[in-house]
Amino acid sequence: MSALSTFKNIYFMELRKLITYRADFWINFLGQTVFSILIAFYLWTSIFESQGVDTINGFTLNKIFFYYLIVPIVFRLQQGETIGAISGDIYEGRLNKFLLYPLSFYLYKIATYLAHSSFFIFQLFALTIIYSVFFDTKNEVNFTFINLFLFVIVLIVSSITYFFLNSITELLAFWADNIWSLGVVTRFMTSFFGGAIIPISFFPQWALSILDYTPFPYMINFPMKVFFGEYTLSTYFQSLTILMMWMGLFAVVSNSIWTKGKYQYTGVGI
Amino acid sequence: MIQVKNLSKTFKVHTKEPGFMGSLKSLFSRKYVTKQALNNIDLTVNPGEIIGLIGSNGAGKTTLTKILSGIIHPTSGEVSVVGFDPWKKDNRYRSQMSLIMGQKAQLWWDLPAMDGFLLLKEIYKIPEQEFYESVNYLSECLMVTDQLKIQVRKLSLGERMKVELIAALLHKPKVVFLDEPTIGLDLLAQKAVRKFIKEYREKYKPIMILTSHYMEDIEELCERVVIMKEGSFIFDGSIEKIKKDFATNRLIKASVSLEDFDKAKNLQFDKCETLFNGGIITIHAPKELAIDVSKKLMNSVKIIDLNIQEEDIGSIIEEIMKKEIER
Repeated sequence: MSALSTFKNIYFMELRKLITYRADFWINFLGQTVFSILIAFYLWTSIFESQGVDTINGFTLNKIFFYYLIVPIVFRLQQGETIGAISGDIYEGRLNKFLLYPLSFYLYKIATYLAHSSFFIFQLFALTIIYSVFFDTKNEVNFTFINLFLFVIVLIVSSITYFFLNSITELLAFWADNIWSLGVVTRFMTSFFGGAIIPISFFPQWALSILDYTPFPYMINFPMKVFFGEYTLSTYFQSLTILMMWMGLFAVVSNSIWTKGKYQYTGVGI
Repeated sequence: MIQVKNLSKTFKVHTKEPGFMGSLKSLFSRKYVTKQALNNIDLTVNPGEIIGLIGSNGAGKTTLTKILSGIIHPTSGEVSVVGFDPWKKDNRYRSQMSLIMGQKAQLWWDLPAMDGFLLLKEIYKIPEQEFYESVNYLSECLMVTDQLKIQVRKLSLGERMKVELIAALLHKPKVVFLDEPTIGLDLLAQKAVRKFIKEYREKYKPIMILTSHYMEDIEELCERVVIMKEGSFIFDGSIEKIKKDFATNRLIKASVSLEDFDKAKNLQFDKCETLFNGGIITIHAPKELAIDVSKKLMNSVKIIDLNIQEEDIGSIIEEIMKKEIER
């Protein structure tokens, strides 16, 4: 109960911090949205026209627009804080406070991470509503309360999974002088193999079979499928269980790196 | 009580040749050097005691503070602070300890200090009433009540240090590590911080370890001083002991009449260091020669005012450190 209350306080404090930067919020929102719409429109309109078909790999033109509007936000939402949120603490000595306060490092970091993630939920719902008002989405999305609830659950689990995966590379900062590139590679792999750049149904079958053994499709493709209502309860729980197993594995690895890494920490300067 | 036995800490750091070629080389092979930050030190600090840690840069003061607070792990040796091993990060220890680093902010920069305090209230489980009493008491003492609702990054350096002090003391810690709490502050802010630390100490009687390069901090706040050099202690004792053992000089300050000032400039005093500034002559004389030097001065020129005093503690400590460096 007490940990939950601390979690809640950290979460809301981080949200307050984020809201402080209103301009950044709106620029990010408008910039990303306009960018996504323009790319999706010009690229996919020409692809559909050149192919002369109504559907490609299960996507209509309307659905692919919607997909590209939503997937960047799901991706950003899942990726919470920017690269360097933990490594920066190590390099600049901000980690001190987590070692001094009677507070779990992971509790604090997950709370702030989820605060960053949930900051994008507003964007997600705003765009969904705007798009649904101007375009016919009846055939693409079946908005029900249960769909929405299951979607939010997947978003939370996939965000925490990405947090632990990212923390593995970030915590290597205890040994390495710069982990930026590693963070970029992790981010790129997750976005590409997860379906944020191209929906993974466009991948060849052999690649999909391999990807099944990786966490990536469960982190982006799975939430997107839930968003579009393309699941049954049994496939939902099966995928959620696999995602949670990946989360557990990343948490164990991350924690063991944290335990060993603390011995390397100098707190900046000697 | 703090007990440290045979404590050592070494750091392995890599070196790099300057320039692009140096960076390129370091991609393939790196050279490391080992730095001995602490060298087999022993220390005991009794309950309620405040000690001043002094030493030149890199002497090991901050490393010792970081080990005692549990931030870094010692290479070898034993450490016990109020019955806990700091490295184990037992919450019972962390709840009664605080570290204030003058050069490193711990509060959340993007938020007003009060928001940070409220989170600390939650982290340290401070009861509501006790929390507001502490905030009021501490902010009034430090005269920053009006600054608590302003974003920390927008405060002046002095105000920031004051709110950092409040954040660190909200939970009334029994062990307080102060690492250069007055660094970069103007004289008024330094005085205010010193006055506050003094009052806080009288009220709550915590164990305090103060690291500072400002001798006023040490002289005003500490009864005991530990001087460090290259990871070892070169002196551990009271300020009185320093004066007794190392105050070998007396400071003679004399105002000389204008017509005699040039004459005074030509006077020679053996084994003394003489300085002239305006109409004032300042002589650092060995204590056994102080009377003779004063007499010679009074017999040679017209003196308006004469003052003989012990050297200030800062100069004595400076002298001890200088001698150690020359050794």
